[in-house]
Amino acid sequence: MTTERAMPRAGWDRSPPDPAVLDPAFPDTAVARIGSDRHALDQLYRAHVDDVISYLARRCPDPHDVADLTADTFVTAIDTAHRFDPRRGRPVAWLLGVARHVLLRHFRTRATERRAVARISGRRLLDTSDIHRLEERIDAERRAQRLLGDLDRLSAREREVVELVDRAGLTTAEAAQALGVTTGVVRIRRHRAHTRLRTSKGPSDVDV
Amino acid sequence: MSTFEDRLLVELHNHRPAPRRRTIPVAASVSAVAVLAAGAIALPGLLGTGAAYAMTTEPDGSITFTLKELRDLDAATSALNEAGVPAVVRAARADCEDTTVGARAPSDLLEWPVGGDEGSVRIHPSAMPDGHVLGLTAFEPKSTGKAGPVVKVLLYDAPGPPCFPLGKPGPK
Repeated sequence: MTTERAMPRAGWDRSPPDPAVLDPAFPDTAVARIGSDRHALDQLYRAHVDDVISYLARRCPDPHDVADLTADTFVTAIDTAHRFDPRRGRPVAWLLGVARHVLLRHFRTRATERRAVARISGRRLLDTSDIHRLEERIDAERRAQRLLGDLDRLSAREREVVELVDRAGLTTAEAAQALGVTTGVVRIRRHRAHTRLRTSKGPSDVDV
Repeated sequence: MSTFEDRLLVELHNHRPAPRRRTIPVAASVSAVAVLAAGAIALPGLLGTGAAYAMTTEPDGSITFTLKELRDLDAATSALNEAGVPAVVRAARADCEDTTVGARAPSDLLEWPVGGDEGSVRIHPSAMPDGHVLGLTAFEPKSTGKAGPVVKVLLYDAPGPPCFPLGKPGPK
C-alpha cells in the first residue's frame, strides 16, 4: 500500500502535485492562522503531511527519525507561520523549506540534545504498523531514487534542486525559497544536474 | 484505526505557538532597501538617537539582524556573540590594509533578505562551522545615493581579520 502511494512521485514528472488534496477554498493566507485556527492547521496538514514525510524519508533511513522530524517540521511551521509570505510561493514550498531546516539541524546536533528540545516526540506516536509503513515508505523512496537515475552522480546541492523541482513539483522560484538561494542559482544547478544525468560526468566542483 | 499521521495531528492541535519574540530595541519602523550584490544589504539610516541595530531570536533558533545606522557596532557584535553567533560587525576603513579573503556564507547559514523585509539578514547559528566567524562589514555607499549603511557578510576563519578594508576583498 505504501509503495503504491509513494511510487507515483517517482519519475521525471514536471506536473505540479495534485491540487485536489488542498481544499480550493483554503487560501494561502490562511497558513498564517495555523497556530490559532484548527481548521487551517487541519487543511495544511492533511494536504502536505505526505509531501513532508516523503521528503524526509528520502534522507533518513530510520522511521523513528522520520517521525520525529515530521513532528518537528509541523511544530516549527506553527511557530513561524506568521512569516509565511504567499507572494514567494505555495505553502508546500514553504513547508519543505521548514523541513529542510529541521533536517539540517537534525544532522548537526546529537540525539540527546535533539530529544531534550523536542516539543513533540514523533517516535512516541508510532505503533508497530506505523513503523512498518514508514520503513516501506523509506524503501519506496529509495527505489524511486534509483528509478530516477543515478542521483549519486550529482552533488548534494544539485540533488536537492532535482528533488524539489522534478520530484516534489515545486517551481524554480519555490525551490529557491525553500533552499534560501536565488532562482538563478536553482536554474544553474538544475541545468547542470540534467546535463550530468544525461552524460557520465561526476559531481560538480563548482560551488554554486 | 488511527495512524501516526492522525495522532500527530491531535498532538499538534494541543501545541501552542511559541510567543513571538519582540525585536529589541527598535527606535522606529523603517523599511530597509536591499541593494544586494554578492551579499550586501543597504539600509536607510535613521535620524535621531534610536537603536542602531535590531536583533530578534526566532522560534527556530535563528537570528534576524538588521543594522540601521553606522554606529554602536561593538554593541552589535556583543549582541550577536551573546546570541550564539560568532560574528564581528565593523565599519570598513580606507586605511585598512588587511588582505584576508572571506568566503560566501552557505545558504543554510545565512538567508537574506528575510520574508520580504528587505534589509534584514537571518543567521542560523546551528549551521555555523566550527572555527569560523561571520564578518559583517558596514560602510556608507557612495554610488547608490541611498541613505544608511550597506553591510557585506562573509565567512572568515576565526577570529577574523583585524579590520575590514573598503571595497576589497570579496568572497573567495
